[in-house]
Amino acid sequence: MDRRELVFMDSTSNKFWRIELNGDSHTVTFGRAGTDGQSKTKTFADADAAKKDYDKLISAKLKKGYVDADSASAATGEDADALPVLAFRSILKEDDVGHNAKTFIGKRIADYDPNKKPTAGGKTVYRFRSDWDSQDCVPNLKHFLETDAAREAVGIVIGNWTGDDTGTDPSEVIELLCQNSKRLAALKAIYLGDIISEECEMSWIQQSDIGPLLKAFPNLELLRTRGGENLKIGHLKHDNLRGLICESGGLRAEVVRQIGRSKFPALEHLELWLGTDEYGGDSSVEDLQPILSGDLFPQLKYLGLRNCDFVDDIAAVIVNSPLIQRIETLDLSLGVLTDEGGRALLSLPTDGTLQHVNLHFNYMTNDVIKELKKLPLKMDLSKPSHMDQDDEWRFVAVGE
Amino acid sequence: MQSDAEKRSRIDRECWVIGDPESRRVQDFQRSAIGLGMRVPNCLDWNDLIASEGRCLEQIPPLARVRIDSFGQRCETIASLIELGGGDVFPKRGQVLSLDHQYQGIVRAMEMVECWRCRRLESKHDVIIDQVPGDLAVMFDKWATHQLMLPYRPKTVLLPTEIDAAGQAIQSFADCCGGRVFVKPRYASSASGVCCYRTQRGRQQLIAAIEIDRCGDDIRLFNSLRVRSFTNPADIDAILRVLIPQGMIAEAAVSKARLDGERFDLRIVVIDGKADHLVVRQSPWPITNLHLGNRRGDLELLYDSVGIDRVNDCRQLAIHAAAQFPRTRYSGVDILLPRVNPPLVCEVNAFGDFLPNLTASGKTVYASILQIDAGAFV
Repeated sequence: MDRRELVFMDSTSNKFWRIELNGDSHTVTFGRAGTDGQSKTKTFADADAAKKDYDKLISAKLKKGYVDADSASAATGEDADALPVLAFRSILKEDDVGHNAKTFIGKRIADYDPNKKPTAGGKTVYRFRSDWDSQDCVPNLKHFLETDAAREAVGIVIGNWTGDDTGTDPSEVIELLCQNSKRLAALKAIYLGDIISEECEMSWIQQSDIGPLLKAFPNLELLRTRGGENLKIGHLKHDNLRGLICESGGLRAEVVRQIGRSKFPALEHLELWLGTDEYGGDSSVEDLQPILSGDLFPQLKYLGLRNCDFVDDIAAVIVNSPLIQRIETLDLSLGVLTDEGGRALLSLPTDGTLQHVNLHFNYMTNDVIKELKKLPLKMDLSKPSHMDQDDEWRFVAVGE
Repeated sequence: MQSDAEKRSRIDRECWVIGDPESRRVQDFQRSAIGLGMRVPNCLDWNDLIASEGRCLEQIPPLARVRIDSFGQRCETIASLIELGGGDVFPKRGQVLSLDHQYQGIVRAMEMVECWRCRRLESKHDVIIDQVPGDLAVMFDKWATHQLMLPYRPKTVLLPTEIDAAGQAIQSFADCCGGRVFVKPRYASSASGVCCYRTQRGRQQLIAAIEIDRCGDDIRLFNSLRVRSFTNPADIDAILRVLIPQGMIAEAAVSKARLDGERFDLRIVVIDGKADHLVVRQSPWPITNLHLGNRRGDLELLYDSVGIDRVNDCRQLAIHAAAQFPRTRYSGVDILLPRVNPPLVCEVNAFGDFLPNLTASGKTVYASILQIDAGAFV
């Protein structure tokens, strides 16, 4: 009997999908991680037809970003508490930029409510945020830090800290977290800036120096930030950091250079949203050289250079970089990838460790996409529906 | 208890829908009637209503029950409404244009139906209409509806139709509403042209389900199924320049309550004073209409997180709102639930009853509408 179990995680879900082939039928079981899920059995004319459909379904799932449950990126290693690197994924699709995160490190997120007793055991990740007519972020965080649940918290999500004043930076939140680092003894992951356009445009978010967090939490494994304005990584050494994600509309070259000088020997997932000049993203391929040289982060499995308007230049350089020989996933999605960059990617190594290539949201024509599909790599070449044909997205004025 | 004769009269009464015969609305309504063992409702096409200036209504027999439904999305219907309303500029499919003339056309069409009904009343060939045509005309005018709904409405002003004056009015209104306002076409629905506008630290943001189509100096707006955020002042200016002359209101934004981390509001269908059918419209955007890819929220979760009392307040307010149109038997009321304060009315939708698969006590909206006792309400 053939059997394959796949898993999927991003900031909206954590789910599994399992298929078992049994003669002329196969059974698919799927659902949220940690549940039994639901099963569907399908019977075919003969065993060959069942096998063909089995292979087809698996290939479709892999294209969507599912990975084998026992693969390196999904594995937790010997320590069952360790976070799989798959759990560091931020968002996959362009549409998700507009949504607040629903999961973080594979766990469900809930807005913290000081009137409800927080869940024990670190199962829920709490989000702390202000609304445009309230200033709850810091008071709620203070409240949470006094509870027993704080000692068990594995992840923390800081949402809109600014209320309606987009000029405020998160330094007060950072200070509060640092002061309580002893209480937050189990903390492994921080998301600083789960803020969507409706709350504050990404390019308006005022960030600040995240160095104090790296210093105060030596066991931190993942630090995810959103917003490029005034972002600084003031502390460039961390022995246990496995994931660093900087989402932005424009990441300053200086931040990219700081990362190029950093010592994060455990880093497995590095994701930089480089953005555009218009929003302060003034980096270039030269600034990425220390990262691409391959020696800087010996453990790196995932490299994301996303939301980038010079991604064609990156594509041209990355195919010959030492780093590409060592990573499993290359993510150049959400940027301005055209045929020029797409053709360069035809030279990606296919006989090494590289398995997944994410090129979701691209401006390539069908000819180049067809060529890329021939590579023996799992590629996401999808485009959001609004990029294909705008006409189909129009609706009519009056209906109700 | 109903007598058998009464029951039979309900089932036997011929039913007519003024609508778009090709639309899912009309087809679903007809299927619902068949499912209930009733006669298939006939459809009188809005196109015929307009073209015959109401004369085609004469084919409806005495004692029939008449329901007025949406004219649908057909370009030719919209063009003929605009023409009927005195306009001569016609939109392409999905374009936001001539909303004011389209509205005047709706008013004229409703007058045709009302005149016919009055004639029938005098001639003893009476018919029963589910909705008062004049009420529907009011519901399609957001400013008129606003005034009827006071004091249960967010603070709202009518904007001038002259661009510079309206621009200033929006700014000063935003200043006194904490920087966030909705700017909405006075005569439209389905989120068409609805903009969430915000100024902060000299920056502007406009969130709308709109696509800008530039052709030289010519700027056209299209309704889009995708909500997006505009921050470029030139785009924002372009959008408002096209919308303002068509008539707009500005409404103070309400900080809506959240469910599962997302904001929501409620669509409540009120039928004969009962607010059984309720949909939670949940969205990461300030515009929650379900056709924009937003989702129906979980009712159980709603009760859990805001409490049954608050939900009941919303139902009561929806009933109150619908009761401002006492002889119109059903409408779709949108209720805003602020994080802390009592609920408010967002809109009353004349054709807000198209909610496929939504049931209350096992009944769909259309089944409930079909089963109201048509005779009892005259």
